[in-house]
Amino acid sequence: MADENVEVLMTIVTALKGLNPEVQRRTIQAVVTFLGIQLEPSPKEASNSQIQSPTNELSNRKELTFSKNRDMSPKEFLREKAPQRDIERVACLAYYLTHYRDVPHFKTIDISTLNTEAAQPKFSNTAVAVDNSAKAGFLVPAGKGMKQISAAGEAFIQALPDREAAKASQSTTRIKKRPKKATSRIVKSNSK
Amino acid sequence: MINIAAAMANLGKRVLLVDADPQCNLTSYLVDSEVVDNWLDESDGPNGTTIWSALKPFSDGMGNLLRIQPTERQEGVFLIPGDIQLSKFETDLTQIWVECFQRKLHGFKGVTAISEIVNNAATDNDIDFVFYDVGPNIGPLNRAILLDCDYFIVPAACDLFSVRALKTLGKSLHDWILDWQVISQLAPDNIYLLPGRPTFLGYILQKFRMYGGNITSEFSAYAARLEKTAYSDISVVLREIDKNLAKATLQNKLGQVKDFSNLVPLSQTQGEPFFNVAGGNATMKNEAKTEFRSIAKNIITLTQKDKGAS
Repeated sequence: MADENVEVLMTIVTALKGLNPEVQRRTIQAVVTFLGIQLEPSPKEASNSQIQSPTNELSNRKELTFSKNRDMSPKEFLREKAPQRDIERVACLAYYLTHYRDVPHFKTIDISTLNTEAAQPKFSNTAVAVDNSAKAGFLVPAGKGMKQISAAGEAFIQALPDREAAKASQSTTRIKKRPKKATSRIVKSNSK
Repeated sequence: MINIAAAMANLGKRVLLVDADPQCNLTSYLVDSEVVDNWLDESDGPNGTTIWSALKPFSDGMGNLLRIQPTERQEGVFLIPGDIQLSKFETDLTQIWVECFQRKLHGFKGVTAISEIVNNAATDNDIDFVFYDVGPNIGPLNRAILLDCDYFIVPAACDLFSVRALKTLGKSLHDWILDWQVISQLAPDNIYLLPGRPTFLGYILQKFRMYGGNITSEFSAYAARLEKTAYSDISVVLREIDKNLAKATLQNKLGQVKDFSNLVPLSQTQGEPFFNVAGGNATMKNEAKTEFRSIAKNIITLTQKDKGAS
């Protein structure tokens, strides 16, 4: 051991001598923590993994990475939003594709695939469900046979699972309804 | 914050606002410019009223923290004014944090100094809720303040910067909480420590436009990203430390505050909440009142629920 090391050691020992053992232990731990020193665990410590010193906690700390994907899975997302009807489920899946998968324009097959990934019951007819969702104003055409979520659809999904808020968002949205076919009324007159 | 505080006061709560931003925006909002200037001029003296006035003896190494009396700005809403000199203390806090790792009493006293000042003011005035207004950064001052809070709320504008800020905040908080856990374990006995467990109460969506009752599509995309980021980069990250620090849900939005147009400058000029300003559109004032009341109720409910659970 070099002379200066011995000198430092003597200084530390002298300084610690007057303290009680518990304070000595904590002071050494503080120095180790402060200097970021990783100590080899003694065989006794290594066998007793239940006891964690603050130093070990620091050295065991998992560094948080920005790039790690911590997004909600489609299954969790649907559980969270709790859609009640097929058209709402389609809108939820469309919302997920747009904002979690960066797929703003999609085809029916994309909805169907994501629905399977989300472990949801199969649509009896996905094309019809997508079409109905579009009729309800949740989806709009995006060209080349693709669909995209509408502003009204986004507002509706963002408000879920609060159904009242979701309903309120719909009430202010103007959904274009196809005019119903005029049914001819035949009035029979018995009067002669 | 002023609007939420006023809404809480209307619900019968006593609220203390602490301007912990050296830029003093909150103080300037609530108090006339000349008065603020006088306060700042006198803050070094014995009659100082700002947060720095209470900190100064400790910061100068000349004694203990002073007890200051907050200003009652409206019934039930109190203010501890900010001070530009708080930036001096922020510089000291970097060394103070290191001293905590070294188990020096000065370090612990320094890092808990603002907490003690605020606790004293809150006790003296029988306060129910304390709101810290902090600058938009992740510096040592905000670290000491956030570790003192039971809860935190993020005002999130519908823009790219807020999405990034949520990510940065999540990571910083994660590291701060873990560091504080170590410091607490190393701390000498019988010393006042920060709670070090700030729970994510949610975010408040701001700065967006409405059309036909809904957020316009450009802003809606950011609203979706904020909802997603608040979950993935705050809730999930904090829950890695402790499941009670955040909810495992996307429903972190406490409320939304749209652009209230000319109520903003009117409110700034008069130092009043949006719904109490003289002039302005009555419908908008009513909308503001309803929205802020709803946010205030949400905060009260969530914090009470949490207390009940614990």
